Amino acid sequence: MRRYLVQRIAAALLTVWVTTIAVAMLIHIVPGDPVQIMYAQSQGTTPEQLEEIRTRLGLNEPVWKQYAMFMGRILQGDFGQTIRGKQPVLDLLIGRLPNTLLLASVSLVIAAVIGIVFGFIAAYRRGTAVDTSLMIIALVGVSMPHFWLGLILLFVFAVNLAWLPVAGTDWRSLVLPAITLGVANAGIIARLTRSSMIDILDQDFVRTARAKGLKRGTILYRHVLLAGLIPVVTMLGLQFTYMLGGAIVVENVFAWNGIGRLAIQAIFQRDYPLIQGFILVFAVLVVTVSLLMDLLYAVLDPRVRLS
Amino acid sequence: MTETLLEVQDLTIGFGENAADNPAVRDLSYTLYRNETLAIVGESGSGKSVSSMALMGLLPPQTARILGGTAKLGGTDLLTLDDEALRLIRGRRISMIFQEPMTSLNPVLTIGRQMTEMVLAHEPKARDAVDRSVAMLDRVKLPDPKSMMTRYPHQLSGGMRQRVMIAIALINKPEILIADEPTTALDVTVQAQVLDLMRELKDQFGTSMLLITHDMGVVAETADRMIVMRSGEKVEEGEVRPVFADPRHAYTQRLLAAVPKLGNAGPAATREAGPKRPVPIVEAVSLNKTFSDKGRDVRALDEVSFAIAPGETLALVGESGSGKSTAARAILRLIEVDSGEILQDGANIREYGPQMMRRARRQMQMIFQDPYGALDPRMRVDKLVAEPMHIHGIARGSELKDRTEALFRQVGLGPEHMKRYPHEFSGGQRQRLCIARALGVEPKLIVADEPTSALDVSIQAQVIDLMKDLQERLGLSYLFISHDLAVVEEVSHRIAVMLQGRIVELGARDDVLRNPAHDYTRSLLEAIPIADPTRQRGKLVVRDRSTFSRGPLVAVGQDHMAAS
Amino acid sequence: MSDQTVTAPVPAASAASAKFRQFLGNRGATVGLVIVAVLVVTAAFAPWIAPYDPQMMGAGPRLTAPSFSHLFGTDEFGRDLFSRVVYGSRLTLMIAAIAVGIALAVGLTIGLIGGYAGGWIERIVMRLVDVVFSFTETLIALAAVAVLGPSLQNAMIAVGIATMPFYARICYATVLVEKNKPYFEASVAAGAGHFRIVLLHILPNILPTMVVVATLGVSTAILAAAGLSFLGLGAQPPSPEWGWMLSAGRDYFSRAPWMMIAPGVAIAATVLGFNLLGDGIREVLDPRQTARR
Repeated sequence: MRRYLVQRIAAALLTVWVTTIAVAMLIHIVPGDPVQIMYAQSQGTTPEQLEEIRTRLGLNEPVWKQYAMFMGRILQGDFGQTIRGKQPVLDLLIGRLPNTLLLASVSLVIAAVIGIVFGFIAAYRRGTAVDTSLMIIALVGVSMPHFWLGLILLFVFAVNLAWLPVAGTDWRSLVLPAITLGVANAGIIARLTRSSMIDILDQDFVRTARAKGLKRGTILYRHVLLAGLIPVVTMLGLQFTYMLGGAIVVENVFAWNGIGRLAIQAIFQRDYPLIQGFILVFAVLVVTVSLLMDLLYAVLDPRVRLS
Repeated sequence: MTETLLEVQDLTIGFGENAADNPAVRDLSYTLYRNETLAIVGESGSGKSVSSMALMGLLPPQTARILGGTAKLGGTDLLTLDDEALRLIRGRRISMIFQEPMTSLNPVLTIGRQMTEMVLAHEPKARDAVDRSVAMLDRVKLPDPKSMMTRYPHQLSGGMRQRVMIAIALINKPEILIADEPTTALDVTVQAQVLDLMRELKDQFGTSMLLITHDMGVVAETADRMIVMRSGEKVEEGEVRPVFADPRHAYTQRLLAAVPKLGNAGPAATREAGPKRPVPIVEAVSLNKTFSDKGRDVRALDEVSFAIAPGETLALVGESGSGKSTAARAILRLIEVDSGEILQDGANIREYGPQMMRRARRQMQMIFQDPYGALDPRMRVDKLVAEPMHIHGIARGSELKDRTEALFRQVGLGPEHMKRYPHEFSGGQRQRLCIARALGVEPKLIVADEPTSALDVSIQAQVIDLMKDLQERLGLSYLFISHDLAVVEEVSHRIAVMLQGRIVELGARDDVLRNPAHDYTRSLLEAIPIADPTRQRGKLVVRDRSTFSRGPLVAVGQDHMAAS
Repeated sequence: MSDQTVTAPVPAASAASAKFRQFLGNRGATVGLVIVAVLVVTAAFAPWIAPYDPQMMGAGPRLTAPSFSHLFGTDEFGRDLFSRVVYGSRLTLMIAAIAVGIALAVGLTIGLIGGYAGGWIERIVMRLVDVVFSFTETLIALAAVAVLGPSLQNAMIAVGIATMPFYARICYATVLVEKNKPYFEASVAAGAGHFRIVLLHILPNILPTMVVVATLGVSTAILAAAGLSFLGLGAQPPSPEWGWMLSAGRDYFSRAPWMMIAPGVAIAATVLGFNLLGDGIREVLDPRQTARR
């Protein structure tokens, strides 16, 4: 167990570290002169001013030194300032983060409830019309672009029926984006749950449980569901990171003020400090979520817990 | 012994869409009496498991169909009961244990939970479920039953898990225990202990047993009466002793004849043992190998040394985890050892680079336990058989084709088989293909890793005959890895017995088998189920594997050594 | 039971045709095949199928609802939406081919090397792949576009890079499975060299899995590229790319909802088609899955 945890934490730290390298290098991979691209469009800048900015950002130093400086700043919590508006990047991102986390969490709950129920019923009734219908619904869900689903919901419920606001910051504005993201991901969870449950249903120990004369409900709950949910839990961790990715798009459809919306604006404005900050915050988020899921997995599965 | 408990009549079961045309079980009838053990014997595909799963209502409902027959337990026909009525019988009046102890228990529930739920399923108000479970674990002789209740299956060995399964099956004192190949997945010494336990408990509980097995040794030692099944039909029925002594049906005769029996093999072939041993084909000197498994170091090879002479078969014998397969792979450098020498023609092949190693491999080929997996499923078999010759540049073009065809003939296959893919062959045929493939480069040594243990007995005998025949004609040497002493007796000239990574006894075949010098060899020999119902075996002495001596080998006779 | 089924050998050809019949017997797979076929035919014969030039403004009145002369209606410039959707199929297929091509080529190579080589190469390569994988496609694609700049070409490359880790991981896992099969050890024991083992034994055995992955990967690629275009980071106006058309349509969606319907249905149907096709192929190729049905 301890060995497992040490491995997981080491892997998480490695991921973050690799990300810092990639992020620090980002500015060098950009075709053309980044300083020119970033600043030329915002203010009328002379070549001297550009050179001054370059020196200030340390872009004239050797690459390793730039990375060391970058890391030094990051470790002190200084992610730089946005090019437009000169706001501290970290403050801006942290200010928006709760909105994204709220959206992703509510969506995950919606997706998990629909997905697990659908998947479990389909697995249990496999081969029947119930199974087929549920899996067709799931497949259509998987195939539908998030943003299109979002637009349709927006059109029907916000514009035509006017039950819910088109955009805003209160809980009523959260309903549509959360449903969009949740429903879009429920299909994947349903498919994965079904195959995980079918795996379990085919296991020898389920046959043993039947041979014992246990009631059907006991078999399904105690033997199939408990064992089958362990891989599903791991999968939910991965799904949450997908939710965060999907949130970027959905936030733009519903003008939901999360970090995804901020990121797209940053890309359009070539605001590289903000893009760098966004990627780093996202990395820490993803790594933390998978670490928590690994922990949960270890607690649930005695084969890991007791090794 | 004459009170009828279960009466099965004209049971017919089919699978899939044309179930009725080609049923897996056809018109099977038998009677199970109180307190007796009835063995249902057959090879794979005989329908022996299917027929008993049907009694429990455990067949896959989507594909399997019961086409006819009755199975009367007391006054009720099991085959017509609804789900709930059958559930009340399962685990209460009829219990079952399965072949795979590793997967038959739920990995995420404690042993205690899996014990008590069996009680509570049939007596929901039982207050003493825990106490009864602990008592039952004690009766199947598991150490410290109280703490056993809180443990999980993955913390137990295969033998212990099968004991837990037996405890679960018997805790409600069922009238019938169905045991489906209960010891097939276990090592021979563990098997002997588990069979002993089952016999003992069956008498104590007054349970009748339906024993499904392919192993005639297990039948002879455990059953009172037997049924022989073949392709879904009963071909013979009777008390065990008369059937063994005088089988009526040709199939039973063949089946019994094919069973390798210890002590029945002829004298070891024409090789004379003497002080002047010829130069060995290959020699292993002080091989050591440690694997690390989840942070724990496991010594797979511990100062292992042996030599194989031209035309000789050396058998490496041992139970799972003894290191015998590691030793086989080490010789071919499929696994790199940590230290030691592997000498071929006096040179240490461990120092060879890739080029030299390839040449060295021409002299040593290998055949594997699983003939289904050892052939690349996406390559045509003529290409597979020709591949080693191609790699080693032995022949090209039409010559290669001719040689390949000759190899097919040599192992009893014809040119009509050449243009097919591996999945179109049976297990025995596939092992022949593997042998043909190995022979192509005219090796001096073939390393055979349990080459027959995945095959039915009748096929097993044919493959062994082929191997012996080839040895005689081509002067091959074999390093023969096996857990089955009866097979080993048939093929080997010398035997090395391995225990936990060490060779504990090494000597000529007859010396080791008839006059074993090491306690572990003796306990292996004692544990083998003997396919002879007239032989009575004494009470088995159970010994923990770690208590055997594992010191350096010392001579106990001419060319016969044992661990001190 | 296995012995019974194999004793009557069948010629390989009939086994293949049996698999194809099994494939057609799966209704979903057949639907998928039909959708994909329609898409390919549409793309190939776009000039003959489309009644108008997709870029021609004023092909009809602006923002007219679907009618006989304009099956899917017209957009804000009076362009014929049906013609634009038809031509858009070419872009979609191109995106799919290029993005999947990049992902498959790189992912297969990395997975093969990581899986076959083992040791420190395996650890480093697969650890890096895991790092990239943990970020999800959307973020990687966004980062790539952020670096390369918004354009359809860059979106395709970005999607290729973003989905590559998935291919690499599956390829790697499949190679590990194959490496554990006895035939792998058998070919080493027979004296086969690295190239023979990888190209003649491992590759043919992992190819079916990779075909399934690539087919399902087409769906992912189309969705991801459409998403980028929708955000304005992929195809640029006046391209008839479906994702971009959706994005353009959202400004008019209360006045002209059909502008969102046609491209949206086109994307969903295409993705559904490839998903069904991929599932169908998997069921035929993976006997374990088939046996479960």
